[in-house]
Amino acid sequence: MNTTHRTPRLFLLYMLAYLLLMEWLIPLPEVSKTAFVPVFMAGAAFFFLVVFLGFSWWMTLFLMTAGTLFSLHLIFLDSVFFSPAWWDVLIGNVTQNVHFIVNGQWHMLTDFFRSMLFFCLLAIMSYLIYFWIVQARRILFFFIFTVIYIAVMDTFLPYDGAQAIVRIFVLGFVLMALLQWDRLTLFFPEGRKKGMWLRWLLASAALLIIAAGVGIAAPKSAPQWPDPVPFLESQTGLGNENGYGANNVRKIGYGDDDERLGGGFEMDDSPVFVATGDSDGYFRGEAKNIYTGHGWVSDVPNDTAHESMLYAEEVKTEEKTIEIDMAQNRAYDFVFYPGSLKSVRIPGQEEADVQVGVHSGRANIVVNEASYEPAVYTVTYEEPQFSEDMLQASGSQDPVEITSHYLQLPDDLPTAIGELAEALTSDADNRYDKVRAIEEYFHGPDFVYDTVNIAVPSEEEDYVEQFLFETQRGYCDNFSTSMAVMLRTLDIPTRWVKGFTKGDSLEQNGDRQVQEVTNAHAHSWVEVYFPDVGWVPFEPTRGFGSHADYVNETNEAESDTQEEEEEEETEESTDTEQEEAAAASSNYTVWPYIVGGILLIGGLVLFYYRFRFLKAFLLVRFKQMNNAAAFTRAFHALLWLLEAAGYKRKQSETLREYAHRLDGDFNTTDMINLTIIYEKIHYGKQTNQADWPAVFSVWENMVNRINA
Amino acid sequence: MSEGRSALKAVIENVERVVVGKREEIELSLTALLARGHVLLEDVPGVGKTMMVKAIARSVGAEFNRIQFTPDLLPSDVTGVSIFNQKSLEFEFRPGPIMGNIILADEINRTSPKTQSALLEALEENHVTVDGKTRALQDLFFVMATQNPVEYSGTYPLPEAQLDRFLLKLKMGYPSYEEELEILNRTAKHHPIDDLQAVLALEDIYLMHKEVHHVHVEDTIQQYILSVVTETRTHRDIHLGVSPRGTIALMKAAQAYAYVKERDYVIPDDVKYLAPFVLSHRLLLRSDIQMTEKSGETIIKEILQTLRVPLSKKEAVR
Repeated sequence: MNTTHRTPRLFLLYMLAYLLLMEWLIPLPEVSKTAFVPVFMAGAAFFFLVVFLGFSWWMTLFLMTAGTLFSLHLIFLDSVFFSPAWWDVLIGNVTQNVHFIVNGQWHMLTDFFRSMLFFCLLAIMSYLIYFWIVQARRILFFFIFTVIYIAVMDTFLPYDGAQAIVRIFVLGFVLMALLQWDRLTLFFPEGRKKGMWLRWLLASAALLIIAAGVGIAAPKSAPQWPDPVPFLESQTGLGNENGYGANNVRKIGYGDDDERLGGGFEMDDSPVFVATGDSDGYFRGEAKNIYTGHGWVSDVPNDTAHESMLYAEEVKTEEKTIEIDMAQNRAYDFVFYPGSLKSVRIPGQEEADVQVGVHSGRANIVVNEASYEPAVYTVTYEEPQFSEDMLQASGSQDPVEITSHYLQLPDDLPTAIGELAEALTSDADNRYDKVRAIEEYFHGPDFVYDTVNIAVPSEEEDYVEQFLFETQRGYCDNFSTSMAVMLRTLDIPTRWVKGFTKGDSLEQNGDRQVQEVTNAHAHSWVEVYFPDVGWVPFEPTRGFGSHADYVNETNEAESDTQEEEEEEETEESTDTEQEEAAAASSNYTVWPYIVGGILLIGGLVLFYYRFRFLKAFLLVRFKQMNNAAAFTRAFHALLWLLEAAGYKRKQSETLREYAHRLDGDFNTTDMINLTIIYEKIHYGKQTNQADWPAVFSVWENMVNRINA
Repeated sequence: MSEGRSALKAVIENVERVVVGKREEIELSLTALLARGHVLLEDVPGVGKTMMVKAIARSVGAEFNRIQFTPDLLPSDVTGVSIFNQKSLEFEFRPGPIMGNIILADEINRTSPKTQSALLEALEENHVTVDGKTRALQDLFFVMATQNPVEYSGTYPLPEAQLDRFLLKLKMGYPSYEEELEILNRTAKHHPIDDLQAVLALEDIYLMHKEVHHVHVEDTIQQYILSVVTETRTHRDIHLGVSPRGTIALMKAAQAYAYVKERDYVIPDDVKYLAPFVLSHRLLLRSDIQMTEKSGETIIKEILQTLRVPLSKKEAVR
């Protein structure tokens, strides 16, 4: 067995060194494109823990590999963890990159592979630091390099290391002081008194805090050289645009112009309105029907009505109201509403009239024949419930006014889009199943939800084609446009709808929920026309649930419905959350990972404290030691525990020899006393003469000594 | 039973007053005495062999005889001889030194095989045959024979088959510096053997002989003994392994040793401790091994290092 005991003290030292290593990771997001630094940190923490617990080499290797793969999975991979597809992606990526390395094409290495190498580096570092801390008891080398690293970062890159250097100073010197104590007591063991270490720690920490405080408070002379960063940036042409990709970044939100879609955007959490009601559907703004190849425009007649008649008579609906309170600086001359609008009431404006575009569904407010921007309004609307049977039974005989407006496609639309749509829907024999097939395709693992690194198609390129066949990365506009266009290639009338998702729940007011909708909730989706049903909304965007109710009347308890419910749960997740948690953006819930993680950590804790648990268990188990049989079992349990703790009895060793050896190690006579009792029982057949409580306490002492 | 054992303790302490630092040898000698066996001591002269035997004899109140074996010693010098009594006109038997209780047979390899076999017959059969008449020996009959390992000229080494008449083969060894200093101090004025009093009567020894038979030997112990013995029969360095007589000897010795150690049951440690003393002189090593440093003792120890010591099963006691 290893002679170094894993004491809490060593653990503290090792964790301090971990924090020191983390100082290397902290600047990364600022100076490079590295994202997901918390995942790297967590991975490194896991490696450190694994190394510290001192598993056998194959266990360490296994855990580290598993940790690396899981972290990579969190960052990059969207397939189900450990599924065949997942392995395909992984192995494909690795072989491709190995190929690049062999050919010297270093610049071609993918982020995935570089991250993998980075994890390997972290794993090696965790072992190296373990060696420094636990075996060599020296850290100066690493400490100096950390300081140099931060200094270089601070000087030549835009990273501000002022606080980092203070943290490193304190961490590094505390570590050095504690390691120095370890080395000193190695030569002067008499210093290893109880409480001495704590005093040493407090003294050195106090000294360091004073030193750091003086350092921070003291006046500092200005830098001798001018800051090289602006110079470097101007020379290299970097920097002024925040590094990269600033050309197409815009803020998310609701706008009228959708002619050019694409490009990334920044999240904007400024509120748009607060809705009070019991709706859980999206808020509809308007629909557009002409796809230009780059975006959407509208060319429908301006016919208006007093309500939006989205659904046919046959659709089961429920009439509800919702109150919408616009944010201060937000004003639109039309209203946002869930479901199908029936009427709008504006307090103080009894004459207000609502004119709903028959095609767009845009509900303009008109007061005295002029457009009006209401600050507060109450919408009465119909919330539909679609029967899947009804949708499947719906024919494909669309009225002319529908086919004339909603089947348009650009003349130069790439044929590949239509071919893909055909291929995806070849198994479906009705419109509803086709639509579902296409929608499902976008939920597949090929597509990534992202709002930042989004391409803008060039003048010659088609927006949908680029998304479907090149990038497969995007947000709601990409998904909804692609779905609408694909369906149109199948002669299914569709339109592109924009509005807002449900928003964040602020509070529950009786049965009415108060929802805050911000710019970040701006969204777009698809409506598909079904004869005798009307316009049915669908949600192709990854990570967003369907907001309409589809009811399977034949068997409500079927798994289909359950999926629906699950999806409704994820519906609340907003764009912002999506961006942060890549794993959550997939259809799969995060629970298995959380449970798995807890189990793993629990397992490690159990493993680390296994002796405590075992000992506690044994002490309870054999509390009633009052006869020879119980003693025998307890004694054998003790032998087993000793063996597990690394004090294995050699097979040629008699119990007495073993007991003498142990007593030598533990500096007691307990084991030999227990052995003599055992011998008496087993070799002498004398079972009724021990003072069992006393024997138990001897046994208890021995058990407690193990690993002590 | 406990009385007898505490008396044994007194014997050991008594002997230790004369023989310094030889506790193991004293215990082993007593073991052989209680197991009704005999001891072969192989060591140079002057290390206290005689003193130990004498002290044991005195402590138990036994008659002590010493036979110095020389090349011209005749069997009758050992066993005794019938002499014609002129007065009674009858042959009268004059018992030889072997008719005593505790006998020191010094340098038995110096005498002729004929005389040796007279002694060895006595060891095995517990009787001697003189002039065609069988005469029983004393109830307590304990021989400690010595062999000088240094001189080989003019010696008649004991045949291997006869060596296993001895229960144990011991070595005395030199005392340590402190022990020898202690010996000097004790013997400065007069020899302590002269003051030694008997702490036991012969009857006590007879009682102990019986009690030793009742020392419990568990199945697992017997298995352990057998595994050691079996191993000697298949070991590649050994030409001839331990005979069943050796197996019995090991068990008897273990029983007696447990008794000396104040236990009424044998533990594996007894077997493991005694095996080299009981078994090493019963082995016939292969001729090429005999040329090397390897002795029977080291081979037995090697075997013990590889054999599994059986623990009793958990279910043994309910």
